[in-house]
Amino acid sequence: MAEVTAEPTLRPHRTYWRDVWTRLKRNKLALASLCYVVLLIGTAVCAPLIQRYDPIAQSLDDSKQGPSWEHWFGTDLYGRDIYARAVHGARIALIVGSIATAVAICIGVLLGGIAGYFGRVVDQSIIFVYSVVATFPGLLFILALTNALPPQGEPHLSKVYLAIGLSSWVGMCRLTRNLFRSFREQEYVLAARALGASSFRIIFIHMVPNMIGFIVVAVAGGFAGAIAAEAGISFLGFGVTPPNPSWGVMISEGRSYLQSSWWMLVFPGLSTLLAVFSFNLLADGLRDALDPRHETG
Amino acid sequence: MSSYLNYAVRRLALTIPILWGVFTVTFVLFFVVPGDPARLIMGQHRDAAMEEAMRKQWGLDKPKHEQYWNFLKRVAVLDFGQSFTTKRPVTDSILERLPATAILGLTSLTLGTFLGVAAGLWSAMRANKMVDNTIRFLTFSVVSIPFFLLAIFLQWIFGQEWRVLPVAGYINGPWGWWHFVLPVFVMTLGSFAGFTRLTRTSILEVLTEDYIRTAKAKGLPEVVVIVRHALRNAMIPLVTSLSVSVAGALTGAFFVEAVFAWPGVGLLAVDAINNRDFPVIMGTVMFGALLFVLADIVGDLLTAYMDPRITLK
Repeated sequence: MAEVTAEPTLRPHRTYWRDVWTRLKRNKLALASLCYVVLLIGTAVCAPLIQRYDPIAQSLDDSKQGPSWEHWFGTDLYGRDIYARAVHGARIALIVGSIATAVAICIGVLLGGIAGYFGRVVDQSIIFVYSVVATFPGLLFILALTNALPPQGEPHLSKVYLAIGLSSWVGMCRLTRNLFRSFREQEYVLAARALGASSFRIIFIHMVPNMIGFIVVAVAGGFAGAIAAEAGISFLGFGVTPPNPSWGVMISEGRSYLQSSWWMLVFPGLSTLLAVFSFNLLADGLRDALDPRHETG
Repeated sequence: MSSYLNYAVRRLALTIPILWGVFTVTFVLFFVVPGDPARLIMGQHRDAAMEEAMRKQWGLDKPKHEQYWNFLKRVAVLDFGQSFTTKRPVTDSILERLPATAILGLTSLTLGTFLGVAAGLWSAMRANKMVDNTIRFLTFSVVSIPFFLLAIFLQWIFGQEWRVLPVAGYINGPWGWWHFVLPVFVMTLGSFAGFTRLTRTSILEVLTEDYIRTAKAKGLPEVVVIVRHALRNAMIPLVTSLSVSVAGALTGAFFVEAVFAWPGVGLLAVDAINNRDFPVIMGTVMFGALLFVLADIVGDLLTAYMDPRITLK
């Protein structure tokens, strides 16, 4: 009689995040955008080591020089090196992106969580608040906030990222509210409540981790939105002000000298475009990787 | 019909608190938090006497709650007062700017919707083939790059490098339409991309329905299945998006109008914030908010009309 030996089916232990990474790696576009994002962060962090020129110091003898070995992206009207300014602009963009996104997601998850978990009057009041914010004509709410935030009457970077953050939490809030309304009915919440967990504990220890995938996607998308918003409002003249090298400021300066020196617009423009595009591609890739059942349109 | 009317009236009543909220937030952000509007408007060229006269003229010397109440009473009947800078009634300024915005917004929305639905249909029919992948990538790119950059680049290439189209401006005359091409193209691209993506998703979802299988099973030609059964049902979710887009088209495209110096409502709002012209800011904000809430209701009514499975409650 043949001996039956059971071959143990050894499947390596796989975590959720390992699966996500495997799926993300299959998406070449998302991977490329991740590389670009990492490169961008690296460049911004190492800005003082990379740039050979001061992004603000003027040198009028070198005014409006085209791209060369000396000045990779050329120089602007005041002879400032555009590469150095673009690298410094990446810092501003990423600072704005990270703080605005953090503000938006914290407010969104907190208010949405409270609304979805408690329901009733609390829910109704929070819905009212976000309906009011959502009813504002898009850009005007951001501009109203930059007008109202302290310090009064002077431009400041903190106003820009706070205004963007305070105006872009509605989507996250609505999403969290809807998710929490379904989480509330799940057994694990009932079990936690039966064990005497407080509402705070149920929300933050049990429910929020269940929506971590959505938060990761929202972070990537939030960076894209905030960087685009900063460039846009600086371009309109309400955001970061010269001589600070924000991409939006450089774009609006470069627009005036397009005829003679295209590089003044093209390089900061492309920097913004690539940054926003890769964060959006990454968000899209992450959405597929985090939730394989989800189909993107 | 009466159920629609009933619903519309109830929804309209519910929008009043929302509009009140928008008014209050705008008032707080522009009149209360920043301090004295008269001083801010005068800016660096301060002159105590002129400042005082201005306060008197606009009622800015009254206590804040009184100003709030007076302003609210006027806004309730759509009177936003006079502009601080041009001294003209705000409602007039908005209505005067509306045609420029409307012609730009509605033309590009119409073009974008028709082309977008066609492209979305084509894309869905060839799902995951080359055509579909190309359309998806292109439309994804359009919706995920900053819009004002697209406007600036196109303006530069067509207007300044190749000199085939006028750079900016709005002219009422025989060659006026020529100035219209670039901004319309940019905005059409935007709504085209949005509607293509929406249509594709919607059609692919409808194609999984049982009635599509039935229609195919009884031997209907593919064209009939697609056009009469799939497309008509796939249009339902698009109606909501379309009505909000119409509101957006009339509110003004802030960036496109700024880039192309297009004298519409969006540019009016941006200039008003620049000049701290508070009545005009309030007027444009409330105008946009009103259009948005109305569009929301119209969208819901149309959806219910088109889809008998939906009951208005």
